Amino acid sequence: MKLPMRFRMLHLLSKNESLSEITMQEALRPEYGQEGQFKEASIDNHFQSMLAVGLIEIKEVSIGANGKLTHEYRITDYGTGRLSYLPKEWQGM
Amino acid sequence: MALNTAKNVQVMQTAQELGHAKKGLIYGVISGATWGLDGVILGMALAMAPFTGGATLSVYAGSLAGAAMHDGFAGFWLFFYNLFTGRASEYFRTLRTRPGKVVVLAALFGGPIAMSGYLLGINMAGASYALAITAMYPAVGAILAVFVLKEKIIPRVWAGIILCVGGAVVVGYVPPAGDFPDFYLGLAFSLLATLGWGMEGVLSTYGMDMADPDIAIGIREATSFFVYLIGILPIAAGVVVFWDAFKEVSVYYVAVAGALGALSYVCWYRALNMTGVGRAMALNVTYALWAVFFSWLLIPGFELTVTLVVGAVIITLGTILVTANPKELLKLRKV
Repeated sequence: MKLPMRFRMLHLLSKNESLSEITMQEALRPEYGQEGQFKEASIDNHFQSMLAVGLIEIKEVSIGANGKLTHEYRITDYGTGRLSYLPKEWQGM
Repeated sequence: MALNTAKNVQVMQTAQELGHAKKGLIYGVISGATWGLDGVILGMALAMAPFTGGATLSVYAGSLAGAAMHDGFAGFWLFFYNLFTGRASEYFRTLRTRPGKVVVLAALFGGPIAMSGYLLGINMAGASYALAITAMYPAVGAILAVFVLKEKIIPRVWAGIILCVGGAVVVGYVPPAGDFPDFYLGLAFSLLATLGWGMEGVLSTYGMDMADPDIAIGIREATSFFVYLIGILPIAAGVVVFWDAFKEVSVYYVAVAGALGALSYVCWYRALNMTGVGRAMALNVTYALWAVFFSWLLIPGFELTVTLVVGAVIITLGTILVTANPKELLKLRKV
Protein backbone atom coordinates (compact mmCIF):
# COMPACT_ATOMS: atom_id res chain seq x y z
CA MET A 1 0.00 0.00 0.00
CA LYS A 2 1.11 3.55 -0.73
CA LEU A 3 2.45 5.79 2.01
CA PRO A 4 0.80 9.14 2.85
CA MET A 5 2.32 11.57 0.33
CA ARG A 6 4.22 13.65 2.91
CA PHE A 7 5.76 10.51 4.44
CA ARG A 8 6.67 9.22 0.96
CA MET A 9 8.44 12.52 0.24
CA LEU A 10 10.56 12.05 3.37
CA HIS A 11 11.23 8.45 2.35
CA LEU A 12 12.28 9.50 -1.17
CA LEU A 13 14.65 12.09 0.30
CA SER A 14 16.29 9.31 2.32
CA LYS A 15 16.95 7.41 -0.92
CA ASN A 16 18.43 10.36 -2.80
CA GLU A 17 21.23 12.73 -1.89
CA SER A 18 18.83 15.62 -2.52
CA LEU A 19 15.65 16.40 -4.44
CA SER A 20 14.20 19.66 -5.73
CA GLU A 21 10.54 20.64 -6.14
CA ILE A 22 10.75 19.49 -9.77
CA THR A 23 12.62 16.21 -9.25
CA MET A 24 10.35 15.36 -6.31
CA GLN A 25 7.28 15.95 -8.47
CA GLU A 26 8.70 13.60 -11.12
CA ALA A 27 9.56 10.97 -8.50
CA LEU A 28 6.04 11.10 -7.06
CA ARG A 29 4.22 11.18 -10.41
CA PRO A 30 4.09 7.39 -11.09
CA GLU A 31 2.46 6.75 -7.68
CA TYR A 32 0.40 9.87 -6.98
CA GLY A 33 0.09 11.55 -10.40
CA GLN A 34 -3.56 10.56 -10.82
CA GLU A 35 -4.64 11.97 -7.46
CA GLY A 36 -6.18 15.40 -6.86
CA GLN A 37 -3.60 16.15 -4.16
CA PHE A 38 -0.76 15.88 -6.69
CA LYS A 39 -0.22 19.62 -7.11
CA GLU A 40 2.85 21.83 -7.05
CA ALA A 41 1.37 23.88 -4.19
CA SER A 42 0.74 20.77 -2.02
CA ILE A 43 4.26 19.47 -2.58
CA ASP A 44 5.73 22.91 -1.78
CA ASN A 45 3.64 23.08 1.37
CA HIS A 46 4.84 19.64 2.55
CA PHE A 47 8.45 20.73 1.93
CA GLN A 48 7.92 23.98 3.90
CA SER A 49 6.35 22.18 6.87
CA MET A 50 9.05 19.48 6.99
CA LEU A 51 11.69 22.21 6.75
CA ALA A 52 10.19 24.22 9.65
CA VAL A 53 10.18 21.22 12.01
CA GLY A 54 13.71 20.16 11.03
CA LEU A 55 13.00 16.89 9.19
CA ILE A 56 14.74 18.23 6.07
CA GLU A 57 17.16 21.03 5.27
CA ILE A 58 18.07 23.09 2.23
CA LYS A 59 21.20 21.93 0.47
CA GLU A 60 21.12 24.54 -2.28
CA VAL A 61 18.81 27.32 -3.38
CA SER A 62 18.77 29.30 -6.61
CA ILE A 63 16.44 31.36 -8.76
CA GLY A 64 15.01 29.28 -11.60
CA ALA A 65 14.26 30.32 -15.19
CA ASN A 66 10.69 31.19 -14.15
CA GLY A 67 11.98 33.68 -11.56
CA LYS A 68 10.91 31.45 -8.67
CA LEU A 69 13.17 29.91 -6.05
CA THR A 70 14.30 26.36 -6.70
CA HIS A 71 15.54 24.35 -3.73
CA GLU A 72 17.54 21.19 -3.36
CA TYR A 73 16.33 19.57 -0.13
CA ARG A 74 18.01 16.79 1.83
CA ILE A 75 16.91 14.77 4.84
CA THR A 76 18.40 15.56 8.28
CA ASP A 77 19.46 13.05 10.95
CA TYR A 78 16.26 13.93 12.81
CA GLY A 79 14.24 13.12 9.66
CA THR A 80 16.15 9.87 9.14
CA GLY A 81 15.23 8.87 12.71
CA ARG A 82 11.54 9.25 11.87
CA LEU A 83 11.85 6.63 9.11
CA SER A 84 11.66 4.01 11.86
CA TYR A 85 7.91 4.74 11.78
CA LEU A 86 7.63 3.31 8.26
CA PRO A 87 5.21 0.37 7.96
CA LYS A 88 7.01 -3.01 7.92
CA GLU A 89 6.70 -3.53 4.17
CA TRP A 90 8.47 -0.21 3.57
CA GLN A 91 11.35 -0.85 5.98
CA GLY A 92 14.56 -1.34 4.02
CA MET A 93 12.91 -0.34 0.71
CA MET B 1 13.25 38.69 -13.29
CA ALA B 2 15.42 38.68 -10.14
CA LEU B 3 19.15 38.20 -10.61
CA ASN B 4 20.55 34.90 -9.34
CA THR B 5 22.85 36.58 -6.80
CA ALA B 6 23.45 35.25 -3.30
CA LYS B 7 21.79 38.33 -1.80
CA ASN B 8 18.66 38.07 -3.98
CA VAL B 9 18.36 34.37 -3.28
CA GLN B 10 18.64 34.94 0.47
CA VAL B 11 16.06 37.74 0.46
CA MET B 12 13.58 35.63 -1.54
CA GLN B 13 14.23 32.57 0.64
CA THR B 14 13.62 34.49 3.87
CA ALA B 15 10.45 36.00 2.38
CA GLN B 16 9.18 32.54 1.41
CA GLU B 17 9.85 31.03 4.85
CA LEU B 18 8.33 34.09 6.55
CA GLY B 19 5.25 33.78 4.32
CA HIS B 20 4.80 30.19 5.50
CA ALA B 21 5.19 31.20 9.16
CA LYS B 22 2.80 34.18 8.86
CA LYS B 23 0.21 31.99 7.16
CA GLY B 24 0.45 29.69 10.21
CA LEU B 25 -0.19 32.62 12.57
CA ILE B 26 -3.23 33.69 10.52
CA TYR B 27 -4.56 30.12 10.66
CA GLY B 28 -4.12 30.27 14.46
CA VAL B 29 -6.19 33.46 14.75
CA ILE B 30 -8.92 32.07 12.43
CA SER B 31 -9.01 28.89 14.52
CA GLY B 32 -9.75 30.97 17.65
CA ALA B 33 -12.40 33.13 15.95
CA THR B 34 -14.28 30.22 14.37
CA TRP B 35 -14.09 28.17 17.59
CA GLY B 36 -15.64 31.12 19.44
CA LEU B 37 -18.52 31.35 16.93
CA ASP B 38 -18.85 27.55 16.94
CA GLY B 39 -19.26 27.62 20.75
CA VAL B 40 -21.94 30.30 20.61
CA ILE B 41 -23.99 28.40 17.99
CA LEU B 42 -23.51 25.05 19.75
CA GLY B 43 -24.62 26.76 22.97
CA MET B 44 -27.83 27.89 21.21
CA ALA B 45 -28.43 24.31 20.04
CA LEU B 46 -27.84 22.85 23.51
CA ALA B 47 -30.47 25.23 24.91
CA MET B 48 -33.07 23.60 22.62
CA ALA B 49 -34.89 20.26 22.60
CA PRO B 50 -33.91 17.47 22.93
CA PHE B 51 -30.61 18.48 24.63
CA THR B 52 -32.32 20.27 27.52
CA GLY B 53 -34.23 17.01 28.12
CA GLY B 54 -36.49 16.55 31.07
CA ALA B 55 -36.53 14.78 34.38
CA THR B 56 -35.49 11.53 32.73
CA LEU B 57 -32.32 12.96 31.18
CA SER B 58 -28.99 12.54 33.04
CA VAL B 59 -27.11 15.77 33.65
CA TYR B 60 -24.40 14.94 31.15
CA ALA B 61 -26.45 13.19 28.47
CA GLY B 62 -27.53 16.33 26.60
CA SER B 63 -24.06 17.92 26.53
CA LEU B 64 -22.30 14.69 25.58
CA ALA B 65 -24.83 13.93 22.84
CA GLY B 66 -24.31 17.48 21.53
CA ALA B 67 -20.52 17.05 21.63
CA ALA B 68 -20.80 13.72 19.78
CA MET B 69 -23.04 15.22 17.09
CA HIS B 70 -20.73 18.21 16.75
CA ASP B 71 -17.67 16.03 16.16
CA GLY B 72 -19.70 13.75 13.87
CA PHE B 73 -20.78 16.64 11.67
CA ALA B 74 -17.26 18.12 11.70
CA GLY B 75 -15.81 14.75 10.64
CA PHE B 76 -18.46 14.42 7.92
CA TRP B 77 -17.74 17.88 6.43
CA LEU B 78 -13.99 17.26 6.64
CA PHE B 79 -14.32 13.95 4.82
CA PHE B 80 -16.10 15.67 1.93
CA TYR B 81 -13.53 18.46 1.87
CA ASN B 82 -10.72 15.90 1.70
CA LEU B 83 -12.64 13.82 -0.86
CA PHE B 84 -13.06 16.79 -3.20
CA THR B 85 -9.42 17.81 -2.82
CA GLY B 86 -8.35 14.31 -3.91
CA ARG B 87 -7.13 13.05 -0.54
CA ALA B 88 -9.71 10.44 0.53
CA SER B 89 -7.17 7.59 0.18
CA GLU B 90 -4.81 9.41 2.53
CA TYR B 91 -7.10 8.50 5.46
CA PHE B 92 -6.35 4.76 5.12
CA ARG B 93 -2.69 5.28 4.23
CA THR B 94 -2.18 7.52 7.27
CA LEU B 95 -4.03 5.18 9.63
CA ARG B 96 -1.69 2.33 8.66
CA THR B 97 1.40 4.25 9.82
CA ARG B 98 2.58 4.91 13.37
CA PRO B 99 2.10 8.71 13.00
CA GLY B 100 -1.52 8.01 11.99
CA LYS B 101 -2.03 5.92 15.12
CA VAL B 102 -0.52 8.75 17.19
CA VAL B 103 -3.17 11.08 15.71
CA VAL B 104 -5.87 8.59 16.81
CA LEU B 105 -4.39 8.66 20.32
CA ALA B 106 -4.42 12.49 20.19
CA ALA B 107 -8.11 12.31 19.22
CA LEU B 108 -8.90 10.19 22.29
CA PHE B 109 -7.13 12.68 24.56
CA GLY B 110 -8.69 15.77 22.95
CA GLY B 111 -12.17 14.43 22.22
CA PRO B 112 -13.81 12.02 24.64
CA ILE B 113 -11.29 12.29 27.53
CA ALA B 114 -10.87 16.08 27.63
CA MET B 115 -14.42 17.01 26.66
CA SER B 116 -15.99 14.53 29.10
CA GLY B 117 -13.61 15.73 31.83
CA TYR B 118 -14.60 19.33 31.11
CA LEU B 119 -18.33 18.58 31.28
CA LEU B 120 -17.96 16.55 34.48
CA GLY B 121 -15.76 19.34 35.90
CA ILE B 122 -18.48 21.93 35.21
CA ASN B 123 -21.05 19.71 36.83
CA MET B 124 -19.06 18.82 39.96
CA ALA B 125 -17.01 21.98 40.61
CA GLY B 126 -18.97 24.70 38.81
CA ALA B 127 -18.30 26.44 35.48
CA SER B 128 -15.97 29.12 36.87
CA TYR B 129 -13.41 26.67 38.29
CA ALA B 130 -13.72 24.25 35.37
CA LEU B 131 -13.17 27.03 32.85
CA ALA B 132 -10.30 28.60 34.79
CA ILE B 133 -8.47 25.27 35.01
CA THR B 134 -9.12 24.12 31.46
CA ALA B 135 -8.09 27.51 30.01
CA MET B 136 -4.55 26.58 31.07
CA TYR B 137 -4.26 24.00 28.28
CA PRO B 138 -2.00 26.21 26.11
CA ALA B 139 0.51 26.47 28.95
CA VAL B 140 0.39 22.69 29.53
CA GLY B 141 0.72 22.08 25.79
CA ALA B 142 3.67 24.47 25.52
CA ILE B 143 5.50 22.79 28.44
CA LEU B 144 4.90 19.33 26.92
CA ALA B 145 6.04 20.61 23.50
CA VAL B 146 9.35 21.82 24.93
CA PHE B 147 10.10 18.34 26.30
CA VAL B 148 8.49 16.07 23.68
CA LEU B 149 9.05 18.08 20.48
CA LYS B 150 12.07 20.15 21.64
CA GLU B 151 10.11 23.22 20.59
CA LYS B 152 11.86 26.59 20.95
CA ILE B 153 9.80 29.04 23.02
CA ILE B 154 11.46 32.32 24.05
CA PRO B 155 10.51 34.28 27.23
CA ARG B 156 8.40 36.86 25.33
CA VAL B 157 6.26 34.10 23.82
CA TRP B 158 5.92 32.42 27.25
CA ALA B 159 4.66 35.78 28.57
CA GLY B 160 2.17 35.94 25.68
CA ILE B 161 0.93 32.40 26.35
CA ILE B 162 0.44 33.22 30.06
CA LEU B 163 -1.45 36.44 29.19
CA CYS B 164 -3.72 34.57 26.74
CA VAL B 165 -4.44 31.95 29.40
CA GLY B 166 -5.00 34.64 32.08
CA GLY B 167 -7.29 36.61 29.75
CA ALA B 168 -9.35 33.51 28.98
CA VAL B 169 -9.77 32.88 32.72
CA VAL B 170 -10.87 36.51 33.34
CA VAL B 171 -13.35 36.43 30.42
CA GLY B 172 -14.94 33.18 31.60
CA TYR B 173 -14.93 33.94 35.32
CA VAL B 174 -18.29 33.85 37.01
CA PRO B 175 -18.45 33.98 40.82
CA PRO B 176 -19.06 30.42 42.04
CA ALA B 177 -22.56 29.75 43.26
CA GLY B 178 -24.34 26.64 44.48
CA ASP B 179 -23.39 23.57 46.40
CA PHE B 180 -20.82 21.17 44.99
CA PRO B 181 -20.44 18.03 47.13
CA ASP B 182 -17.95 16.51 44.68
CA PHE B 183 -15.96 19.73 44.31
CA TYR B 184 -12.46 18.19 44.44
CA LEU B 185 -13.42 15.42 42.06
CA GLY B 186 -14.68 18.15 39.73
CA LEU B 187 -11.30 19.91 39.95
CA ALA B 188 -9.59 16.60 39.12
CA PHE B 189 -11.81 16.13 36.05
CA SER B 190 -11.06 19.71 34.94
CA LEU B 191 -7.35 18.99 35.31
CA LEU B 192 -7.81 15.82 33.27
CA ALA B 193 -9.41 17.92 30.50
CA THR B 194 -6.50 20.37 30.60
CA LEU B 195 -3.97 17.56 30.27
CA GLY B 196 -6.11 15.96 27.54
CA TRP B 197 -6.14 19.07 25.35
CA GLY B 198 -2.46 19.72 26.00
CA MET B 199 -1.59 16.14 25.05
CA GLU B 200 -3.79 16.34 21.95
CA GLY B 201 -1.82 19.29 20.60
CA VAL B 202 1.57 17.71 21.19
CA LEU B 203 0.66 14.23 19.92
CA SER B 204 -1.14 15.46 16.82
CA THR B 205 1.76 17.79 15.98
CA TYR B 206 4.13 14.86 16.34
CA GLY B 207 1.97 12.80 13.97
CA MET B 208 1.60 15.67 11.48
CA ASP B 209 5.35 15.80 10.92
CA MET B 210 4.68 12.99 8.46
CA ALA B 211 0.95 13.33 7.81
CA ASP B 212 -1.16 15.96 6.08
CA PRO B 213 -2.79 18.21 8.76
CA ASP B 214 -6.15 18.17 6.93
CA ILE B 215 -6.16 14.36 7.02
CA ALA B 216 -4.99 14.31 10.65
CA ILE B 217 -7.93 16.48 11.70
CA GLY B 218 -10.33 14.34 9.64
CA ILE B 219 -9.09 11.28 11.53
CA ARG B 220 -9.30 13.14 14.83
CA GLU B 221 -12.95 14.14 14.40
CA ALA B 222 -14.03 10.72 13.09
CA THR B 223 -12.26 8.90 15.96
CA SER B 224 -13.77 11.23 18.51
CA PHE B 225 -17.28 10.75 17.07
CA PHE B 226 -17.15 6.94 17.01
CA VAL B 227 -15.73 6.73 20.55
CA TYR B 228 -18.52 9.01 21.81
CA LEU B 229 -21.16 7.01 19.96
CA ILE B 230 -19.95 3.54 20.94
CA GLY B 231 -18.13 4.07 24.23
CA ILE B 232 -19.45 7.20 25.98
CA LEU B 233 -23.10 7.87 25.05
CA PRO B 234 -24.38 4.41 26.10
CA ILE B 235 -22.80 4.90 29.57
CA ALA B 236 -24.20 8.45 29.92
CA ALA B 237 -27.65 7.41 28.63
CA GLY B 238 -27.23 9.84 25.75
CA VAL B 239 -28.03 7.58 22.79
CA VAL B 240 -31.74 8.48 22.78
CA VAL B 241 -30.99 12.22 22.90
CA PHE B 242 -28.51 11.78 20.05
CA TRP B 243 -31.08 10.17 17.71
CA ASP B 244 -33.94 12.41 18.88
CA ALA B 245 -31.94 15.48 17.86
CA PHE B 246 -32.26 14.50 14.19
CA LYS B 247 -36.03 15.07 14.47
CA GLU B 248 -35.63 18.57 15.93
CA VAL B 249 -34.63 21.92 14.50
CA SER B 250 -31.56 21.92 16.78
CA VAL B 251 -29.86 19.48 14.36
CA TYR B 252 -29.40 22.33 11.85
CA TYR B 253 -27.66 24.43 14.49
CA VAL B 254 -25.32 21.54 15.36
CA ALA B 255 -24.65 20.95 11.64
CA VAL B 256 -23.60 24.62 11.24
CA ALA B 257 -21.55 24.45 14.45
CA GLY B 258 -19.92 21.27 13.11
CA ALA B 259 -18.97 23.06 9.89
CA LEU B 260 -17.45 25.91 11.91
CA GLY B 261 -15.72 23.36 14.13
CA ALA B 262 -14.29 21.65 11.05
CA LEU B 263 -12.94 24.97 9.75
CA SER B 264 -11.59 25.87 13.17
CA TYR B 265 -9.86 22.51 13.59
CA VAL B 266 -8.37 22.58 10.07
CA CYS B 267 -6.90 25.99 10.88
CA TRP B 268 -5.74 24.86 14.33
CA TYR B 269 -4.00 21.73 13.08
CA ARG B 270 -2.38 23.68 10.25
CA ALA B 271 -1.25 26.30 12.79
CA LEU B 272 0.14 23.58 15.10
CA ASN B 273 2.10 22.19 12.16
CA MET B 274 3.28 25.57 10.82
CA THR B 275 3.90 27.66 13.96
CA GLY B 276 4.41 25.08 16.71
CA VAL B 277 2.28 23.97 19.66
CA GLY B 278 2.95 26.93 22.01
CA ARG B 279 1.89 29.67 19.61
CA ALA B 280 -0.96 27.78 17.94
CA MET B 281 -2.55 26.98 21.30
CA ALA B 282 -2.18 30.55 22.57
CA LEU B 283 -3.95 31.81 19.43
CA ASN B 284 -6.60 29.08 19.73
CA VAL B 285 -7.48 30.04 23.31
CA THR B 286 -8.46 33.52 22.05
CA TYR B 287 -11.79 31.80 21.32
CA ALA B 288 -12.83 33.04 24.78
CA LEU B 289 -12.58 36.60 23.47
CA TRP B 290 -14.26 35.79 20.13
CA ALA B 291 -17.10 33.98 21.90
CA VAL B 292 -17.87 37.20 23.80
CA PHE B 293 -17.83 39.20 20.57
CA PHE B 294 -20.13 36.77 18.74
CA SER B 295 -22.45 36.45 21.75
CA TRP B 296 -22.79 40.25 21.81
CA LEU B 297 -23.48 40.18 18.06
CA LEU B 298 -25.92 37.25 17.95
CA ILE B 299 -27.63 36.98 21.35
CA PRO B 300 -30.18 39.75 22.09
CA GLY B 301 -29.68 41.32 25.52
CA PHE B 302 -26.12 40.02 25.97
CA GLU B 303 -24.33 42.36 28.37
CA LEU B 304 -20.70 43.44 28.07
CA THR B 305 -19.26 43.53 31.60
CA VAL B 306 -16.02 45.01 32.96
CA THR B 307 -14.43 41.55 33.37
CA LEU B 308 -15.18 40.74 29.73
CA VAL B 309 -13.51 43.95 28.52
CA VAL B 310 -10.50 43.49 30.85
CA GLY B 311 -10.13 39.87 29.74
CA ALA B 312 -10.34 40.92 26.09
CA VAL B 313 -7.55 43.49 26.55
CA ILE B 314 -5.32 40.90 28.30
CA ILE B 315 -5.89 38.34 25.52
CA THR B 316 -5.13 40.93 22.84
CA LEU B 317 -1.84 41.87 24.57
CA GLY B 318 -0.93 38.19 24.87
CA THR B 319 -1.68 37.58 21.19
CA ILE B 320 0.56 40.50 20.20
CA LEU B 321 3.42 39.07 22.28
CA VAL B 322 2.95 35.60 20.76
CA THR B 323 2.84 36.78 17.15
CA ALA B 324 5.24 39.75 17.40
CA ASN B 325 8.19 38.36 15.47
CA PRO B 326 7.37 35.70 12.86
CA LYS B 327 11.11 35.40 12.06
CA GLU B 328 11.38 33.23 15.18
CA LEU B 329 9.19 30.68 13.39
CA LEU B 330 11.71 29.84 10.71
CA LYS B 331 13.14 27.06 12.87
CA LEU B 332 10.55 25.73 15.29
CA ARG B 333 12.59 23.09 17.12
CA LYS B 334 16.00 22.56 18.65
CA VAL B 335 16.89 19.61 16.40
